[in-house]
Amino acid sequence: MLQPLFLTVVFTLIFGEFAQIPTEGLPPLLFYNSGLIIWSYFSSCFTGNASTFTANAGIYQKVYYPRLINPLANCTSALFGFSIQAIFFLVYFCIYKFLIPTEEFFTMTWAMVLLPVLIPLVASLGLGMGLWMSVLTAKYRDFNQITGFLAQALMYATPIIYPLSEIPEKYRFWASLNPMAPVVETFRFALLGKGSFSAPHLIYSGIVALCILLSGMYFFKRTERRVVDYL
Amino acid sequence: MDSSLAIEATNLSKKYRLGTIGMSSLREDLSRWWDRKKQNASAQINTKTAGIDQSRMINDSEFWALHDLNFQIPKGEVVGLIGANGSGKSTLLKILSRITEPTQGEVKIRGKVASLLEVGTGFHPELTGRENVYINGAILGMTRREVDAKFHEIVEFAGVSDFIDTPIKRYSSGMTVRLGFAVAAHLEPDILIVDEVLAVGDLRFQNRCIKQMQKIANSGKTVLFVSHQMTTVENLCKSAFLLSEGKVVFHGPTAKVISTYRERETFLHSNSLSERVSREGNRNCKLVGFELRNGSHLKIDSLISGEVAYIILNFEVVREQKNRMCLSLGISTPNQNRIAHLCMKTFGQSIAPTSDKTFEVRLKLPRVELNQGTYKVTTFLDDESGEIIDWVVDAFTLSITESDFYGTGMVPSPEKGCLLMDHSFS
Repeated sequence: MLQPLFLTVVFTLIFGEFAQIPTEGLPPLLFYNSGLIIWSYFSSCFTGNASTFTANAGIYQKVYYPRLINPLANCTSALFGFSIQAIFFLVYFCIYKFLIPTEEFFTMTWAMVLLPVLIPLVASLGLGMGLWMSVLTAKYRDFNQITGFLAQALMYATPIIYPLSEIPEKYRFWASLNPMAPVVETFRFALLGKGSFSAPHLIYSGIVALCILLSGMYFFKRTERRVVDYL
Repeated sequence: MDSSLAIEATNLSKKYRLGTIGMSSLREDLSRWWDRKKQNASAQINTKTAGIDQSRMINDSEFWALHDLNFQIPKGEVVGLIGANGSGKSTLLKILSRITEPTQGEVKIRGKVASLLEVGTGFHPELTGRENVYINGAILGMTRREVDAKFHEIVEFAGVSDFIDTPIKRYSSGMTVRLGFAVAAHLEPDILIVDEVLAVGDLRFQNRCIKQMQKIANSGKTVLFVSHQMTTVENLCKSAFLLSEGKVVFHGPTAKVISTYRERETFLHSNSLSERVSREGNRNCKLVGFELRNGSHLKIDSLISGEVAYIILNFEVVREQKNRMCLSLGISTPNQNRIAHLCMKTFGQSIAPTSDKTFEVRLKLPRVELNQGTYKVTTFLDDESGEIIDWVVDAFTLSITESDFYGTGMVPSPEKGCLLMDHSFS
């Protein structure tokens, strides 16, 4: 739960102070924190479910209940951590807004109304990818190593330590293929008024998330029927 | 499906693989695939198949854990499931409780199933007894309200009321299993599947468990009960299935199924006597078989208490034996309590060496003074000089059938003692 907080401090120091990566004129701490809290929710939905079968093998071998309950419970309880981090963010936001005089302008925007859409979108993307990984790790144990690596690689591919606008034009198309990119950008736009909001991109993310989630659930369901035989 | 049935299985089969196939790493799979491509021949998987009956093997790496099972269990019946280790009982329970799928065939189940294959599934050591009751209840299919309603009863049954707010990592192992069983015992499914879980806790708790099971059984629920404790099965179940080598070999009234099971076990034992390697001595002669006969010298499967019986032991002469030999038999309860020692030396008898390939020793019991049950017989053959020739611990199992030993019209209860002796009160 404290991880995003630590990461925010580290990022503020390294990327903000030392590397001087532009933050669209926002206080670096707010910039990184806004990206990290939505990212860490995605990340816990994804990595937290990647080893569903192997981690619950003991119970799965002894009692039957719909196995999908475990991943769903993980996503729900991760929401609790997310809300605590959101409260922390509000505290920083108020500190920067009212206590520390800065010439940078930031404010919450109308896009806040999109939050009830953004959060389920992140959850289904994370859950879908987590389900996929859980199917793979049930069959091949070495996929466990890949999970952490994949999560990290995806984080660097997502505009968390840099704004999307800083990506050179020729790479921007590739960067926007990442379904998390529009989500983080929209989230930041909602909270701080900077970043970009693009409805087509967000719809694209939604479609990708839905596809991954449905296919993940399908394979998860298929795996759960016989998985105890080889766990 | 007939609405009077709770469970119906048709052509149910389950295939399992031997060896380490299944859960592996992608790297291993890829290198195996690469090897195969290079050699252009399928890599042989070497797995030991000794110990598994050949009729169960499909090829050298697959076997039938269950093969072509057909059975029906009517609603409201308490059914026992017995069979030796590896006969497929647990696999069947796993299929019935939907933990795994059958390879072939299907099971139709009417009603809500709760399976109890382990006590305290999902218990978390850091959580308190109270929290674990709720978790375990949820895993077993109880709603929060159901647990609320029965919470007091559960805690009372487990006898842990003083510790209910203590993390269960501080519990003794007995308390943990008691709490686990207590939760399960208060489930209210239509069909209850119970694996060997009654053998938990101390004697007093076990009795309480059996009483609780009886209560469940009497309340009109369908119960499928697996146990190796035949007396428990007999007390609880009206009918039973006997599973052997993945097949249902017998289905009928419990008492009959149990006696069939015992006979089969004895039979299997006598067959393997000559192949048995766990024996001591110089093995000049070797016990290869035994037979039971009644007073009229007819072959029987079990002895009847109070009647005349003969135990005939067959020996094979492996190497020439010069000295005279002496045989003794030790009879023990299944719990390894020695209750009798029958020795030739007591009567100054011995066996003369023979030039034949085999010889037999006949032991007469003028009146079998053992109560019903099974007993283990250890045979000990030694030389006059004291050298051990063939010593087989638990060579075979002797089953004794009940009878009116004292001629009073009452069958002595096996729980009250295994030895029957003539006596009179005045």
